[in-house]
Amino acid sequence: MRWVWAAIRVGLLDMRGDARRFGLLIACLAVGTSLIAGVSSVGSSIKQVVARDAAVLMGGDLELSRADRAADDRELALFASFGQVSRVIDTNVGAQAGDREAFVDLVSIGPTYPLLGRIDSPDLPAGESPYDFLSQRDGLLGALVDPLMLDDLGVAVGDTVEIGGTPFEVRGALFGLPDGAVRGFRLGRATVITIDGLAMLADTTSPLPGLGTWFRYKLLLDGGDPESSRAALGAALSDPSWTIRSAREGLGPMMRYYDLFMRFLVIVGLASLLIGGVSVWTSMSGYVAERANVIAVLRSMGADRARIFLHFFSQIATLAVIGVGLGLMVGGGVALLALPIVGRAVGVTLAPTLHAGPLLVAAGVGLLTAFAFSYLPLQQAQNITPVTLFRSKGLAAPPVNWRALFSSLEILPLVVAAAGFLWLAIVMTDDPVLVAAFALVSVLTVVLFRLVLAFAGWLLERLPEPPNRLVYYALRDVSTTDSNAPLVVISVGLALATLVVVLVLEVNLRNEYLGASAFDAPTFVASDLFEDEVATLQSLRDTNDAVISLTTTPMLRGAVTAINGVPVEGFRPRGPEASFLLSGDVPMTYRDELPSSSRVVAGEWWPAHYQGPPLVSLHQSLRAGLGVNIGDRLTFTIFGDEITAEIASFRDYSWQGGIDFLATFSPGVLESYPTTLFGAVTTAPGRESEIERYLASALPDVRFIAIGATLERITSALGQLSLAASLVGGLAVGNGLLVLLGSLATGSRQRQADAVITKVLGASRLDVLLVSVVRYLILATFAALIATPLGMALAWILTLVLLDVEFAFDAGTLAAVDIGAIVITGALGATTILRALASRPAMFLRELDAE
Amino acid sequence: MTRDQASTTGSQPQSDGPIIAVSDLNYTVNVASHPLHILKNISFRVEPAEVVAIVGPSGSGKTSLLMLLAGLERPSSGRAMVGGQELSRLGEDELALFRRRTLGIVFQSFHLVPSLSALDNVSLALEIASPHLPRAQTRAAAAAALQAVGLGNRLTHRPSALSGGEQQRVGLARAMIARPRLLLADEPTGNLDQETGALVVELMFDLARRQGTAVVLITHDPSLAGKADRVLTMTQGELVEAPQERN
Repeated sequence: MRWVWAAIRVGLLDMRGDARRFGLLIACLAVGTSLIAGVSSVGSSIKQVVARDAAVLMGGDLELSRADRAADDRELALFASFGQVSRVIDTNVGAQAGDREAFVDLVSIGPTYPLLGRIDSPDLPAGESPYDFLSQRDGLLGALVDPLMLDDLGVAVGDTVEIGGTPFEVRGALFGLPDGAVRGFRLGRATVITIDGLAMLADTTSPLPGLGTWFRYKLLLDGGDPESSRAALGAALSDPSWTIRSAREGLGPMMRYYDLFMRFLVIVGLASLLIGGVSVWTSMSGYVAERANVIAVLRSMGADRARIFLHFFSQIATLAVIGVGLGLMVGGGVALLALPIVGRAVGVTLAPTLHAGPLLVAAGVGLLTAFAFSYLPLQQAQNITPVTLFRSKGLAAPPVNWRALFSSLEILPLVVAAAGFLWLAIVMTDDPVLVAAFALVSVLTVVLFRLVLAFAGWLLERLPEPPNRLVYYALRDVSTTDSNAPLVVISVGLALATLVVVLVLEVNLRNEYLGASAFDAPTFVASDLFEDEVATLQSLRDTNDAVISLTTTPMLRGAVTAINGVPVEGFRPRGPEASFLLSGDVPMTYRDELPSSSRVVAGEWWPAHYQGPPLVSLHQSLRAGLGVNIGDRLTFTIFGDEITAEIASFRDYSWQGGIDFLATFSPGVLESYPTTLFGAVTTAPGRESEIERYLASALPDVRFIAIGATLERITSALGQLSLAASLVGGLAVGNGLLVLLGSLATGSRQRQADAVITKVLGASRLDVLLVSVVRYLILATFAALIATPLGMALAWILTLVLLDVEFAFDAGTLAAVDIGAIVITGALGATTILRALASRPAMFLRELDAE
Repeated sequence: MTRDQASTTGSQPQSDGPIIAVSDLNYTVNVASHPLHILKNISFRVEPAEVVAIVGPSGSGKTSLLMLLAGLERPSSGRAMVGGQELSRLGEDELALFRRRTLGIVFQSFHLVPSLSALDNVSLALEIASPHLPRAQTRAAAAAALQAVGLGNRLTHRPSALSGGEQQRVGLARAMIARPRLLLADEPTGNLDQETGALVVELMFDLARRQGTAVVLITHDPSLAGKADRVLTMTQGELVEAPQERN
């Protein structure tokens, strides 16, 4: 073993004085590793909390829910035979205190709620049942109210508010529900009352169309596996209107979005690490080329391939440990800071503690990347022979002998490293398909770049000489055999492709889960408006610049009576939306144009000014919920008339369904019926109160819902995610820039010498500088031409695998990114010869000779 | 330090015969699809501890011959026996072993490892040749070798802090530390002034004779060649003169 230590010692000694060169390599590894460490740590903490506290988060082992009715006695008896049951009814109503109103997310609880955990309220005495605490006292029912609603209504604990037209005493502030994480996005301020209180509400009409009442039953099993119990319950109920969810399935959309987002970030982190690997490759290749002399000397003294390998392996291992170590520290530190914030957004408590697993995985992928990308330069190093010591001073590493490499066992470490990398990626994402897609697109990217570069080289040799002198010299520099052009194109191309993927995926993720219009949500909405009231609103819009927009949609109520001619009595709908649609008179509308916040997922939206037979567009959940498809017929009863309409399309309007309608008719069907209007007012930021006061005085009979305020939590969460995506994108691009700097440094000494010699021969500094700028502009443009479509294709594949949603991108942003990358590359490229141009030629050439 | 200490255990062929026995050696390379005959029918022998100089004009094939003797190139035909081993039959690892145990090389451009001190440069060669020697012993031997070339006070200096003559003396100490049986020197004075070059060569011959090492020296300088036991002259890939007696 002594020779091993001796080789390592000499290898490490040989690194002296090269710290600056390796700074880029270390930084690239650190950035990639920190991304993965941070994201994995947060993701792992969420997973562990969910795995450990799934039942607590759900408020039971299983949840049964439906929208049309409460469970009957037989069903309740069935539930009770499996374990303890608690009842919760979710609905939306209005609340009022004096002249101030609020939109309420009303949670009505039964005597046994919660089965697990406790309601977070400082006013609820420890050990006391919330049901008892909120029961009628002195003729008044009790409520626990979101502190924000207390502010909205200007009341305090102990005051009385009207909820659904019935007075309630505010018995405490509500900071959280034990099963808040599985409730997902809810519109309105959360308020808890008892089921008895709900029964006493004077007005249970939802202030918004499309929001129904949900009857939920939490079940804490006496024993047995939740999955088998769920199957047994499903079989016993034999009613598809019941939705039975395990705790894991019950996680709210926010949690699912975070899970998806974390996987997206891990993929970006892995991509960033691979880009960092390119830096490892270029750094080590350049280093080995410059160390060819030393290697040849070692070989002349009898050093064998193993000794040479160990010499450089000890160096790359040291650098990798430093880079990965820094990455772990930064990533772990950021995760510690982010965990409580993410926890609040998701609705679970995430303690600021780190787990060894994700950090070890991040360290593993970091080290494997460093090894895999330095392996080929290490092979090149071993192939250097002392022959060159006799022949020349300027040395270079021999090219990789691919055929020999693939036909020998020496390929094995590379294969093992790649397999290890993929395995760790699967461990991180828990999604082999996603990792396989990632691996496939990575390989395709490399193959594509190599093919295009080979083609470009072939083309350059055959192009006629350009008439412009600058372009001629720039192209000549590009096509020389020892040019760094391929490296620059690959570096810029990979960074750009990654950026494009990040940008496109982020847009699609946001669209999928939050809707494109999330940030454009109206400030106030009101239903059942009359024409004169709308005229007042229009007048307000025209005269007050605080109102940015006003949209109105006709609405009327009707009931579905038959599906394809078969009466719906006895029909068992699947899912809450279908149950709601069949629950009786529900709000519906007609429209000529598809609203911007909706998108068609199947079928076609009718043409403009359509006047043909009745068509209807349904929310996409109704396809499975009612078992219908495009072309099927629904019969509605509206004002006593039967109207049969053909299903033309299914739409998705995401979670914001509360401000859209499950069923939308084509024009020319419902216009003859008396309708009211659904109005949405958007105000200028900061002027909400002013408009709210005006609306209250101008239209005292209309109940406006301040929906903008209820979206605060969602938009804030979205803001955090957008920020996270921007940061990750920024880091990925930063890594790309570092790689670019590395590729620019490759062979820069030779280009500096060329520049000085050109200057000595009479060229002006400006000429030399311009040639360099044009050279890099050409290379970056070429890289952008490959990377942009490639990045979009990769994003398309990942979008399909990751999201299975409609693909969209913003061409303007992509163009700006491309132009920015090209300009930056041109500018950075020019800087590589600035020093040579600024120094006196004689001094520079003497320096060069001394090297 | 003895040769036995410096050698690793193994089946190193020992020969009582000549250290170099070359017969009918040809070396041809293809240049632009045309064969270029660099060495033609070379035959010569070098006895143990003998000092041989090879002179000749540039392009005559001197360096190519040296590379063949070091096992860095393979002959097109003929035999090159060095240290009792026919080099063309050795694989890459065996050649590395051969160089480790048999050869020392001195280069025209010194080729020291720039990041290592003089002491580390020299001890590195012994570490490679005798990997099982304790480090303290290796360093002591390297210090003694540098002392022997007059650089006892420059042990910790890196190459950049040494003059050309000093660098070449470090190169000489490095080549000789493992007590090779054959020292190959390629224009060792090519980058030195005449006086310094003469001193270095004198030192080289002196060390070689004291250690019983055979030397093959390539030089353009007739006065240096004159100090060898024999002088071989090469012209256009051929040894055109018979071995000459030393002046």
